[in-house]
Amino acid sequence: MPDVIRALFDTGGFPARWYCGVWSAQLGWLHIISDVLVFGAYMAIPCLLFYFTRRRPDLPFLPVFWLFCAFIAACGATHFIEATIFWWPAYRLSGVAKLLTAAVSWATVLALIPVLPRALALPGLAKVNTDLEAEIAARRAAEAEVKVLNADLEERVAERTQQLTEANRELEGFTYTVAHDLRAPLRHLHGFSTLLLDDLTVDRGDRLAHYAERIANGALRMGALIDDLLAFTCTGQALGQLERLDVNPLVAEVVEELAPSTAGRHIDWQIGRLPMVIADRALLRNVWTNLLSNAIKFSAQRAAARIEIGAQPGGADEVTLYVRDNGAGFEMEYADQLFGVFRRLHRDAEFDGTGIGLATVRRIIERHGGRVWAEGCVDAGATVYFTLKAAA
Amino acid sequence: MYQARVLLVDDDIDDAELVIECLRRASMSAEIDLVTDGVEALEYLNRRGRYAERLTRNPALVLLDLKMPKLDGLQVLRHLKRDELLKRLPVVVLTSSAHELDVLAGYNGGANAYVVKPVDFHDLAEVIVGIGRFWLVGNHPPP
Repeated sequence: MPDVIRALFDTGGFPARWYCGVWSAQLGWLHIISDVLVFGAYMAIPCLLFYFTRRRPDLPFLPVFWLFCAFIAACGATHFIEATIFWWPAYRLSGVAKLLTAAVSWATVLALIPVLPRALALPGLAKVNTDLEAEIAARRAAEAEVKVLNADLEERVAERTQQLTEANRELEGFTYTVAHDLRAPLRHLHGFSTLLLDDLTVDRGDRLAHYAERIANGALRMGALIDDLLAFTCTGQALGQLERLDVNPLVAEVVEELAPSTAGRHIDWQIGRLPMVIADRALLRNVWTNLLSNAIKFSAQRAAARIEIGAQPGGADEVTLYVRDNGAGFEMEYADQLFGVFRRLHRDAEFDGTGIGLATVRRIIERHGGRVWAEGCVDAGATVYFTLKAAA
Repeated sequence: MYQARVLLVDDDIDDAELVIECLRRASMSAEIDLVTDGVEALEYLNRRGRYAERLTRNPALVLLDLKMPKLDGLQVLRHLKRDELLKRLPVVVLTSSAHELDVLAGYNGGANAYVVKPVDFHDLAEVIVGIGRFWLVGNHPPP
């Protein structure tokens, strides 16, 4: 190997170019300076190309760029050797350099041939711009369409809301009219059956009096159902004033208010520390009244009735409150039915009531954005849970 | 003995009969005249039409139902309260509706009381007797 290199740099047999032929100084330096300038430029071009390709890695045909760099640099090298030959006649090195240059140049040519048709197929900048403009226009049209659709959607939502509001109003009107107009015939039923009853007891059989009494009771019960339905329709139709509420005094008030219904009974009230919530005072009071009167009612047959009121930590900004009794309970299978209007899991003979209380509770709690559910077991009591927004 | 007179305005004959029965049972010595719609009520009070020949004194009290055909209770009330001769007549609205708007309309129309007829006959009797005691016994009708 050292022999090959030595042979390559061997200048034996050749005079320096200055001594080969009759060179004037001007002509000699013209060659030398031109070759050196070409060398400089040919070295600078690959550097710039290299920089360009590094900054634009997305360029197509990257290998061709590398070949261009190599062949321009090789050309530059041959020009530099040509300039040095004026003093240092390395013709062998020069020949090999030219051969290498030729090889790289042809490699570039050969690489260019298959690339050319693909390069020609690339869209011109003008075409790309036109395409882009077309795409932008298409997107704008799509956006405009989306806006129109949105507006249409909003309009439809508003229309539906309007329809819903009207339907609600009609329903309220309907319920009111039904509740109101149904009361008159009931009054007649109760009134005349009572009159009948009064006349019968004197000299007629007990059987007829019993029937008249049944009619009167039926009328009263229907009256109670209608009153409750009317109250339910009006309850929580709109959420009133939401405020920060301390549940503790509210519960104490309701317990005291219900005291007459617990007269003569011993009830062990277990009232835990209750949190601050965000709610409508009147509606929340209604919830407690319903839940506590239920607890009182359904634990009536217990010698030692226990009613527990407490709170559990709920989600991030909500609290879970509950009322637990050790009363008649219910079958979990029917837990969902508890909250329906006029749904009852007990016969009238066992516990009176119309079955509107828990429906009212659910309605109010849902108006507050909360949930309500119940757990229970026959003869082991029931627990009604509900969630409310916690006050910060 | 002075017999108080009551004008009962109710299109519902059954209701009217029950009210009359209540008054009768309470041994109220009242003459009760029954008319069954608003037009008839105004004819009675103004001695017009069918009642042009009416010789009896005006009633000491009007028991007025709200929901009636032709002229409803509120319209009757409006006519009465605009009439110089009749505007002092005590009017008790006796109706089925406990609706807040109806109650307001009754009082705004100049009713002296607004009473909702209960479904329970015993309660109804108690209410009617209460009304009778107050308006026919305790209260002095305008001369």
